[in-house]
Amino acid sequence: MSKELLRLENVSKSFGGIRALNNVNLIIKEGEKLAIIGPNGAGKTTLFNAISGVFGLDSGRIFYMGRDITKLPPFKRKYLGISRAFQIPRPFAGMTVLDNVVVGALFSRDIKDIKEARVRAEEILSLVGLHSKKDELAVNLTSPEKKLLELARALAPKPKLLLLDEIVAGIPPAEVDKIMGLVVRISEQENISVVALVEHVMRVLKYVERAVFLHEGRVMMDDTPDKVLNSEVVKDIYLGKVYE
Amino acid sequence: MDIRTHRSLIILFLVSLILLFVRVGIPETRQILSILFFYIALSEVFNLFTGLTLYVCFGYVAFVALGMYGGGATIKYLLSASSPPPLAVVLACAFAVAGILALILALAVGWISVRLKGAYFAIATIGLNEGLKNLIEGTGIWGGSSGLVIANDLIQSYNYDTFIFVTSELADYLIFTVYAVTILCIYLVIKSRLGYGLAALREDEEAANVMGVNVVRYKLIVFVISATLAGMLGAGKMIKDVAIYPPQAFAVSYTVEAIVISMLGGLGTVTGPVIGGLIYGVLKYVLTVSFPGLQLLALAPALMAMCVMFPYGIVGWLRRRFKGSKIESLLI
Ligand SMILES: Nc1ncnc2c1ncn2[C@@H]1O[C@H](COP(=O)(O)OP(=O)(O)OP(=O)(O)O)[C@@H](O)[C@H]1O
Ligand SMILES: [Mg+2]
Repeated sequence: MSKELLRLENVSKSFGGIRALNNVNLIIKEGEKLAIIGPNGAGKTTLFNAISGVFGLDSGRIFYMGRDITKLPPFKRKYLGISRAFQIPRPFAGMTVLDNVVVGALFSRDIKDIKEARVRAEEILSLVGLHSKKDELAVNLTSPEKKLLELARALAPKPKLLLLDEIVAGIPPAEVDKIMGLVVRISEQENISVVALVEHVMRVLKYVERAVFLHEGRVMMDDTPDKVLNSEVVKDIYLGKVYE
Repeated sequence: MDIRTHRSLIILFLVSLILLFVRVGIPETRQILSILFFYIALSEVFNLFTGLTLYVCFGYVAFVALGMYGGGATIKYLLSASSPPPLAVVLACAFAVAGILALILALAVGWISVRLKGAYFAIATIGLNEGLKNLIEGTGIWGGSSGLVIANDLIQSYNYDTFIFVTSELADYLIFTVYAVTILCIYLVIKSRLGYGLAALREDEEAANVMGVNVVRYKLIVFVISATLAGMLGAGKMIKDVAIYPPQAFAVSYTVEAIVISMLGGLGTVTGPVIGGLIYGVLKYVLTVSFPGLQLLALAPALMAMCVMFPYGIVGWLRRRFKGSKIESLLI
């Protein structure tokens, strides 16, 4: 069995009256590929915010490689190897595509100087197919390209844990295979654990080995993608939408 | 930020040096250019923090004033000894004390306020000037409301010719030195890891944080460097003016001019304040000559027009205009 990388213990977070995360327990292993599914507003993005440290928890604790990181600010978590792609791309608009990825690479434990970060950034940009745009300002990219830039920025620092929030949403089906294939290839090469948030597991079914179903801030199921997909709970809640 | 050669920095430095010596060659320009240089230097200092972070600080008057007081008090103290130390030692101490005082104040203020976002930071720094002014007037330190004057100390300790040389020549060179150090700082910061971090936080602070940038520390670092240089600039101004009185020392207006110059030239650029300063200086001079007494009235619409014409500053506009050419690479 591979080692535990991340552990969430009884994590809760509310916004006003909404319990966005309700006693979430979750363990992610090294090198694991996992999809977290759930309808709109299920709390998926909130879960990533909790893991990356954007806000404090109401209760519960988060352990990373055995260390309690509950109180650590986001930038320190990034240094430990937690890397994230935002659901709504947040490129540094006035910077070039290359510099965006350089920032991703530069602020990490393994890459120490700008030169090395540039080399890594160019390499990742070639992999995701954005190399020809490297000197463009990020603001000028199309929406799918911005998604790719999010992916490149997140991969650049050689993370241990890659958090992808709806990375294939709005991407044409033909492209999904390309992107997910790439994620799988790099993550296997570099032993990265990948957590992908998706509204519908169908889109990433064949790339993950485990699926967690989140609903109203609770983990309702945690099993193989097949089992989760065919469970009554999931069918009920999606009302068959998954099969559309 | 693409790799820019050191050449552009050297060219900027040489151009500045020429301006400095035009002042000597054409005596009529001396007064104007030396005042202008102070403003350009101040706006570079301002740019080092605000240009790189887009956080506006209204506290620069306080840092400059503190430097003037600290430098002035140091000179007064050293010259009160029965045998005053050599001039160079006195001036060096004045700059050191000015810088250290501003640094301490910036650390104290910055420690708390850089945690505030955007406009809240600006508001937090507004109180700085009034606070320091009231402290000096209220407690009567450094001459209190009657001000601090060091002219006699300098004349008595050295001689009249030295006094004239120090206040009308040397002071300008000292201010120029602070200016040169500041542009070097901006340049080095922009090209470093710190610069990447600042560029990122300037765009999106939360995303930068998630991407590994210690945003609070990075803001604090440039804030403290910038304030320290502002304090040293104050020491230079004190040596030039040889006197400081609270009402003028804490007049926000002249820092506003520095803000205008760096916005006009281009925030976050090294060349912006120089270009902005020259244009502003010329504009103000022309308006003063053509509409005497009404220059400020005429200046406002002129500035507004320029802001509309060059929303990214003149350097920003030039960079776009000459994208990809040699000129762009010179406009650091
Ligand atoms: N910063 C916030 N402030 C207030 N409410 C929030 C905040 N973030 C999330 N919420 C609320 O928490 C709940 C969970 O939101 P979250 O963004 O985690 O859902 P999601 O599963 O990512 O959904 P989606 O498919 O729309 O991305 C929602 O009801 C949302 O409105
Ligand atoms: Mg979401």
